[in-house]
Amino acid sequence: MEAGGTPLVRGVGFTVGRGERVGIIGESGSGKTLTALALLGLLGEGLRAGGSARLAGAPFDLLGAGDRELSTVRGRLAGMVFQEPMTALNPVMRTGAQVAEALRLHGPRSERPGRDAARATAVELLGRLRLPDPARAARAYPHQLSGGQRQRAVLAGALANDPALLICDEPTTALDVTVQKEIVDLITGVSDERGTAVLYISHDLALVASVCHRVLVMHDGRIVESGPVEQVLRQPEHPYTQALLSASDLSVPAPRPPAPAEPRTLLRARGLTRRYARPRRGLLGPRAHFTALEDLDLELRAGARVGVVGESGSGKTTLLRLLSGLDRPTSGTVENAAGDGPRDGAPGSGLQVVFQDPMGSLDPRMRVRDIVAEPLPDRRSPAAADRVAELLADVGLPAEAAGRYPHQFSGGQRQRIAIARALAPRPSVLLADEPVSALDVSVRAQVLDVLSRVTAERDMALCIVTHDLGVVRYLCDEVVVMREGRVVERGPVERVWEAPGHPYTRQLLDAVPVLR
Amino acid sequence: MPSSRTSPLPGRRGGTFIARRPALTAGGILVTLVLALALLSLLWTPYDPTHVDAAQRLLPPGGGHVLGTDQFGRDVASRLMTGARTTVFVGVVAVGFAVVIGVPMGLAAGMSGGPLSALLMRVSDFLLAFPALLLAIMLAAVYGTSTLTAMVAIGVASAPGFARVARAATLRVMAAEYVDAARLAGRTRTAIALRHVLPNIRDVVIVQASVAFATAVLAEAALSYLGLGTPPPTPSWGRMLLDSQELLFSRPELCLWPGLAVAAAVLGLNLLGDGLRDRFDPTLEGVR
Amino acid sequence: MRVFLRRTAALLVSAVIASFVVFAFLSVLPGDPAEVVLGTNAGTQELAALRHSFGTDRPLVVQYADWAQGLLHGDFGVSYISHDAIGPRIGDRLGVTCWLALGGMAVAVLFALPAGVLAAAWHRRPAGAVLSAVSQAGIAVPAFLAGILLVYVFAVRAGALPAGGYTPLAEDPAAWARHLVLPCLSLGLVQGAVLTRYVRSAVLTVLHQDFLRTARARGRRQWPALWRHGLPNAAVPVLTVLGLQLSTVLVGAVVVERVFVIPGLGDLLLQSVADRDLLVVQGVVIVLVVAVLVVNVVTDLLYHLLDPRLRSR
Repeated sequence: MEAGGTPLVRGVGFTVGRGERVGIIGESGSGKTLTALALLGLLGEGLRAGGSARLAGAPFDLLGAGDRELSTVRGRLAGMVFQEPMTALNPVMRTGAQVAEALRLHGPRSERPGRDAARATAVELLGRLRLPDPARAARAYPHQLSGGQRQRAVLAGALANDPALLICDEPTTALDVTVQKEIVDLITGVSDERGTAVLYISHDLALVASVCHRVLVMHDGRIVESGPVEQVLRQPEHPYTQALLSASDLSVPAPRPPAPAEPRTLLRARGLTRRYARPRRGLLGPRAHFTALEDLDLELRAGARVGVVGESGSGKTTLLRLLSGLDRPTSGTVENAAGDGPRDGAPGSGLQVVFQDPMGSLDPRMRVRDIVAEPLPDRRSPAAADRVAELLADVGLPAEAAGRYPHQFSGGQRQRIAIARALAPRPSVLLADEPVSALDVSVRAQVLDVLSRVTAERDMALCIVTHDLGVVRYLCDEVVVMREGRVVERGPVERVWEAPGHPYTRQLLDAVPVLR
Repeated sequence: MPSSRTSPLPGRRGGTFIARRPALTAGGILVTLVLALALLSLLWTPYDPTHVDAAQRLLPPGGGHVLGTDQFGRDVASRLMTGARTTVFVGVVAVGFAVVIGVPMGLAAGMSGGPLSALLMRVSDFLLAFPALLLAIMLAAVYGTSTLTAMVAIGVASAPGFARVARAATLRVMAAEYVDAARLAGRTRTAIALRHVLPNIRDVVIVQASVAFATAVLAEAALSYLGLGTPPPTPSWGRMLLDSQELLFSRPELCLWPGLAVAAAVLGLNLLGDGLRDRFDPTLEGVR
Repeated sequence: MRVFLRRTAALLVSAVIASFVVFAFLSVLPGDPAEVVLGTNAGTQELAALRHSFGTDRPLVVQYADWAQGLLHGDFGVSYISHDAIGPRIGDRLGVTCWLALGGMAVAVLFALPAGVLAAAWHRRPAGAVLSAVSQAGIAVPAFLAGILLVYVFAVRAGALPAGGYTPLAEDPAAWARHLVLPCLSLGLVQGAVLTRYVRSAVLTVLHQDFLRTARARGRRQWPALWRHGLPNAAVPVLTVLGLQLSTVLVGAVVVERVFVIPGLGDLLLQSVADRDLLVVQGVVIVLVVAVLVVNVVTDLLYHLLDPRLRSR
């Protein structure tokens, strides 16, 4: 497969048997999505695939076929589910009609169901995929459904004609873990029940291990290793697979610093509540409120490592913004022993934040030296330049990095720059918002190790807000589990993992795929 | 989360600048040409562009007059050059005015949000109901026709465009995490506006300026054609078109020159805008 | 429904403000209609008498209230210069300008929809590049220049169509149509070129959206997928542009009427400006401004109808 003469994927060959589930593992840019798209002739313009791909039931080579021939395969013999459920459905068409579309496109014209019959079948399909109130979901427009519900609708369209092969391209990456588990269970259920072959593409080794029988590891457009899941995970042969495995495994916690003898309290939040006003319904209607966070207490001591875990909508990001002073609570207080939150124009507050998106948190128009020096009081002085050099060395970046712009760095490097900036004013508290969720598996552990080391060296309090339980397990001593703006459970990591006290915590822990 | 999106196409490497950026190159050349003509006309034109000479009426191109003369015996080439000056002058002043009014308004609205932002949108919606042409006609009705009324009308009519573009771009920047980081770093609002917002909305403003300039050239030509722009005898392309329209039966090429000039200037500015937009496109950043 | 009410209320407020702005602009600023009529060396008494008969000696607020109240009944006042009622004059001319604007829009849409969709679908082929280049060049041609060129080709050289003038529809439909062809083309082709670019970019955006790929993964073929899923989505941004363009065309008609000597609103407006007949200018401008405001509101409402994401709010 190549684009404009540059090969992107080379010499990829594999088979998927009836009822078999095969996973393709790889990081971004490995060519795993391209491989899947090529099978159904859905590559973007300017991309060409060579070679051959046969599918039982289709009397031609998929890679050589034209749009007319392939359209008889797509949706009938092979269905596909994509990564981003938020954009995978047509926003101006009712969900049911989109599911029904798959039913009305295939088979001899005379046997195709009418509009109403197809709609009825679509509702039935949505029900089988355990959408609550399928009739209503079918009448709804996509924006009225949640991400998980939309992904079920896409899945319903892909499975409508009972295809022999289902291709899933990171179908749950954009979803919460508990929803991920439900979707994955649906897929494996259908596969077991109807003998549907599944090609499952993911970056998540543990997830693929729990779904698939066989796995292909892709790296730089090639398959570097393949075999039964057990074998590849237990005795990986290729160095890349070995590296990937050890990087994915966050079950052995990072080295912990010795706890300070008498830890000072650095940050204390009491009864934090944040409500947002919803737009009024009608001129005289009551102002509706949405409570993002309700009555939360939190204390951060020197040397503490607290992980705040929750799914989307749990209020964890709101919490971080309140703690850092970027937003103000509706009620409750944040006491910061090192000074208050940022009043505009005030010098550093003793508290800094590392943000989620290492692209968005660095101003693309500034050089790294200016970015890292930004929180320093004397940004232009030679002392500041020395401090920047010191900080860059501390997070493992070369000194030349100072003169370059953010886009010249990889995601992992950019996150190191962000960490360096956060450390610049010598804060005593470091907050991190999903610091590794935008990064590839292989650099995830490195960035976490940097975070762990720098906070330990400075006896700082670290608070990580994340959806990723593995990160908390790896880095934190204490965990706070949040759901819908409230704390459902908190305690030492060890204890919560071994004996979760709240059913939701248990559900969350169960939903996370674990490498055996 | 690691995405496995289709990796972006590798940029077309190699090749000259022209081959890689045809729109930018062509636009740049056309705009430079118009600017050069306008500047040159300040120093030198082949003849006095306003000199009327009955003996030299409607001379064909060639000979002493490269493009011939018009019905008053004035040299067409000289008038074309001086017309470029009028166009550039009106465009620069009008767009400058619109930038100075529009960008700070958009920036302020985008940074403060809430009621101010909403008010600005209302005002700019409202101003959309007064196109440049209508404003110019109203101004002309009260003050009589002059270059100034044309410039003010075009400037006022273009300002909402800048305000909207600047506001939208500012909202995007303000939503970025680097602004949060700057607040945590102790930057004041003014510092954030100057250090983070302005540099990051600069590109959109430049592109908008190029587009607004093209619109200004069109509006100026239309106003002069209607007799509401630059009054004679100062040459302007629109006026030249009006004068030559009556000769359409006998000397159609007299319409051609000012027509081509307007079209070339507008085309150049639009191409420049497109080219710059492509160049600045953040989605292409880092690919190269 | 709520959106409809809110927009209509906003429209009324805007219209009132607009009428005030237009009135203030043309009344408060220098230029006394009595002086315009009598000339600058008229006697003070004569001026005062004339001012009294025009009503311009009353306080401005009263004048405005009087004028605005008249507008509600379609009474635009009486011209200071020609002494006829302005309302009927505007009424006569408005019809002509509307035909011109609608014809222009029809040409633009008929040209731009296919051209824009094809330019997007073929954006990697030479044919698409040619379409793009043609539309790019078309944008650079002002409507009055297009008019002059069309006159040259079809009236001067071919002699097939009249170079100017107008015949009312009721008088002679064939002659009416023949007189409108060139003006509508010159308005429409240029706007069509602008619209083509918006259609192209809207369709191009849609082409790269995930839901189109999902539809194809269900078995829709390339073109039907674009037709069924792509175009309804591309229509949303295009509609906004279309509304703005209708306003542009309405005002652009002023210039084209001058090229083709058509007795429309623009002709009346320019004539009144030349005569400094400010009350007529005031009347025509307010009609055009309100027309633009109405078009904007209608577009906005259609937008809400087309996009369910806005509708449910």
